[in-house]
Amino acid sequence: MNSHPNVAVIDRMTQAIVENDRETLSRIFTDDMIFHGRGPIPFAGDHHGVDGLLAALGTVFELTDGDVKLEQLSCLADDEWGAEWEHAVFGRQGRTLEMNDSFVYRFDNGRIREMWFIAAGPADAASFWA
Amino acid sequence: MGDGIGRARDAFNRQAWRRAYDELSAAATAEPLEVDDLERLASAAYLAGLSDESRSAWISAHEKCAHVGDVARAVRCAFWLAFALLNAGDLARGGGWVDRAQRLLDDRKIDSVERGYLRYAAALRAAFSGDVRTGHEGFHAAAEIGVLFHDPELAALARIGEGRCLIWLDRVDEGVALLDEGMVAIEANDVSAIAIGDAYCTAIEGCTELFDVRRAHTWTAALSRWVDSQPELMLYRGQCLIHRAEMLYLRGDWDAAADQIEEAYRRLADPVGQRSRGAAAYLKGDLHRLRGQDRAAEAEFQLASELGRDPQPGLALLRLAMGKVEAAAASIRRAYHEAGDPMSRARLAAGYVEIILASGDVAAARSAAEELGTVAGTLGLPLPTALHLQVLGAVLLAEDQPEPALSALRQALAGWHELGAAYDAARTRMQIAAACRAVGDDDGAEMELAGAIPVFERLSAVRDADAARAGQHVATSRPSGLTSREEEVLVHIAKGLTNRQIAERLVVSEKTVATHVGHILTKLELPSRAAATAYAYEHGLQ
Repeated sequence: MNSHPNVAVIDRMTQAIVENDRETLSRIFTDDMIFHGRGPIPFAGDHHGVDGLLAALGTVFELTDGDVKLEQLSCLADDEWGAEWEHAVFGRQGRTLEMNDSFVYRFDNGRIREMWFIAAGPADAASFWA
Repeated sequence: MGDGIGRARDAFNRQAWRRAYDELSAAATAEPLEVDDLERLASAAYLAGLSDESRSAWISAHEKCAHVGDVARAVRCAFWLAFALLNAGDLARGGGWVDRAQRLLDDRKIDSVERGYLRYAAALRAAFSGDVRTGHEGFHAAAEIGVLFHDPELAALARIGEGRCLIWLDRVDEGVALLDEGMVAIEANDVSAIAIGDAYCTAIEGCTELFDVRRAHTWTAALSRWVDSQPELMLYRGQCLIHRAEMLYLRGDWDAAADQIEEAYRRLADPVGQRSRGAAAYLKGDLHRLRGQDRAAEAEFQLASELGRDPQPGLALLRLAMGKVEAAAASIRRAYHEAGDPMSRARLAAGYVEIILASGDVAAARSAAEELGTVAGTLGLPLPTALHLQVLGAVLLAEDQPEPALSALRQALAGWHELGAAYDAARTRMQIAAACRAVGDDDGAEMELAGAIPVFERLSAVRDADAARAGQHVATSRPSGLTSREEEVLVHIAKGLTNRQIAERLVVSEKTVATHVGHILTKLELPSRAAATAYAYEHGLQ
């Protein structure tokens, strides 16, 4: 299996996001990082820097009142690119949305410069987040 | 599903923990319980004081969830199991469950609020192991996860843990603010009974460690209301129940304090509550000591010691009251020097100073008073401030500086009044009376003693009452020219006591007695102690 060090960077990033550990995140991301949200999701669009990323993801936790469970299915990386697939379960106002999402990462000397989120099952997502 | 399950759930919702446990246990014999009911069974058993039964139920719930692949819920069950074990002091098994649950989350790379609960449990293990910095980091991270996942229970528990660690790290103001924040959140949200009980105990223990009487009183009163609403509740971390008794003790309601200790005994689960039982035995011993019930006091101090609670300063003060000054001094010196840090020594300081002054070591008393002053200055709270001023007053009196002693003691008295600490206030009035006599103000001394005696009588503090009445007697038979204190010394000289023995009786230094003797001989124009003895006999003072 892929044991490239950038896989560990992605895992550390996830943990730091959950713990709101901005110090670690500032070391993981380049200063000019961009997070691209793609699909019918509450944070669709481009978000700049750690603050932009956390604010974007924070909307998911706000809308679900924290009812979020993420399970990483697989993660691959080389020096320049990384890809991660996850199974996500969200609860909102008595409804549940289960989907498999993808993240793509572009690295620059071991730090993440760019990050994409691509929602799978866009129809279900659109009605859930509406 | 039978009626039994329905009754069990109803009992659980009514917080009738023992009833809920019994009903669920009975239902489990008919058919296996669902995970929801296994969790109820585990919680009810824990709150009813049935630790082994609770742990078995958490393990069953954990295994059932793991078997069907509900990893997050399996981890949550493992957390509560680890939480109970860690709080019971079983760090090895508790830590083992934390590690096992962590592996489950890591293997499946799951990010859910359970990750925060495990961070909390790992922080608890670190803090209980003495690694407060790691504990602090872990609690902080757990609180952030609780906030992100909108889990008020986790966020509040973690903030309280973080606050406790900050207090241990000497960041007192930040720590206390987090305790308050966590407690307000606990009271404002729908939080499990296990979390509520733990939060109250942690916050009250933190406040008590800081001598923060007002805050401890606030949370103790809230805890009392909560506990009283659940007659079947047993608490593993029952130290907080003892603090209720300590509050009553401080406020001079000793009968209620004694009743509260009995109530605490009833609520403390064994064997986990041993440490708390030790604290209860110590407090009972101290109440007996103050009431002159020496044998009962000794028995309780012995029990406290067997249960792991150092019986000092109470036991040494008992020895002092029995006239065994050297034994008292040796014990309290040992305890004081073993205390390790200024905060721990501050807890012993009042008893230490009283005893070593009686043994004549004024320099050591002065040093202890100064260290207590530093602690009080850092904390800026009423109780340590009053305690410091009282101790300082005693040292100044022993150093023959009655005027500054009076100033310190009057401030101490105001502090005790503000805190509603009746006994300490009366004891301070006794010292003020001594200082008044030392400056020749007998009227002032009489007024202070007259104020103190009814308090001692109401509390049945027989030794203090006797001492105060003896102080009044001295005042009424004073020969002209001598201060009342000098006359007291003269009475003892007439009995053939040495300066050292007189110092022990009057709880002052030997040097102070020597000074009084010098003044007596000068004022009465007498050449020797023998002549002073004759004078005392001639004037009916013996």
